[in-house]
Amino acid sequence: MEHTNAQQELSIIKQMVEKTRKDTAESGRFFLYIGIVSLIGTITVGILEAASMQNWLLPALVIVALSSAAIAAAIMHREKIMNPVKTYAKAICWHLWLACGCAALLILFVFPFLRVYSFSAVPVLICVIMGIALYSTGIVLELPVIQWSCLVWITGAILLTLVTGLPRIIVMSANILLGWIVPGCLLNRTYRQRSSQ
Amino acid sequence: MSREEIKNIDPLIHAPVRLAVLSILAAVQQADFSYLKKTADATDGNLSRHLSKLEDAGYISIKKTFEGKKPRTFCSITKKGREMFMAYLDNLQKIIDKQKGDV
Repeated sequence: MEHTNAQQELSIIKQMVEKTRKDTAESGRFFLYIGIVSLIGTITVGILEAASMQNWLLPALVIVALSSAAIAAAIMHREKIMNPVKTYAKAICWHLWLACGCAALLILFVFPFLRVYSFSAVPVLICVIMGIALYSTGIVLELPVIQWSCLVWITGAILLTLVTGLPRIIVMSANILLGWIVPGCLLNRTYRQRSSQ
Repeated sequence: MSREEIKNIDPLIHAPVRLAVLSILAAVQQADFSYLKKTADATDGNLSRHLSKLEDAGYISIKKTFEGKKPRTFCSITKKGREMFMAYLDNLQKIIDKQKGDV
């Protein structure tokens, strides 16, 4: 093998790795769809609270949680069927989100009813869980925009401890918008740009 | 290039299609047949032959499944395959470094 052949072989390897990297890039749809459902849910909860319709709060939260779970399951199923390549990084992320989703369900629907803490602590704990999940996802998938969106959630968690009433809904909505939907949009834009090249 | 260097180059990985397949599989958990065919720019028969050789050598594992009525073939690199591929890369790098030194 000559020097040029060795370099040609290295260029084949580089080309294949680049192609695979491009084909397995994160589309951002997961963040976008679940972000939109969560934002609608948060605004609905705010409206119900403002209208003193407390009886409707739990059904609204159940609908939001079920919708998010259904969307996540649909995206996961679609990835499995449509995507010809499975990466270790994505598999790790799905398990991470499954674990964080289970933790969020316990925080939302189990512990407050067992009087472990009051309902006012729920959004704070959800924000912390989100911050951890996004930071880990950003690290595993090498997506700085997702990694650093955790700061929005951690800041939101701190702010939520300082305010009550309607401002909490505003803080939570801002968290979802800046810490989930905006990064999702940025990822989706990058993904579409790369796909069209 | 010395005899020793030639001996160190794994002939099983040396073929361009097999090198391309191992490069893809080293970067992912598993990839299906159609993806490998498209990315490595190979034909069905050609790729099948190369995959069989890699499987016989224990470098990759092939799993055939059904999604509905549609058959799908998934390939993944084995531990041995990954080690051999890394050794192959090391040898390539050594050859390039040596040639650069000679120049």
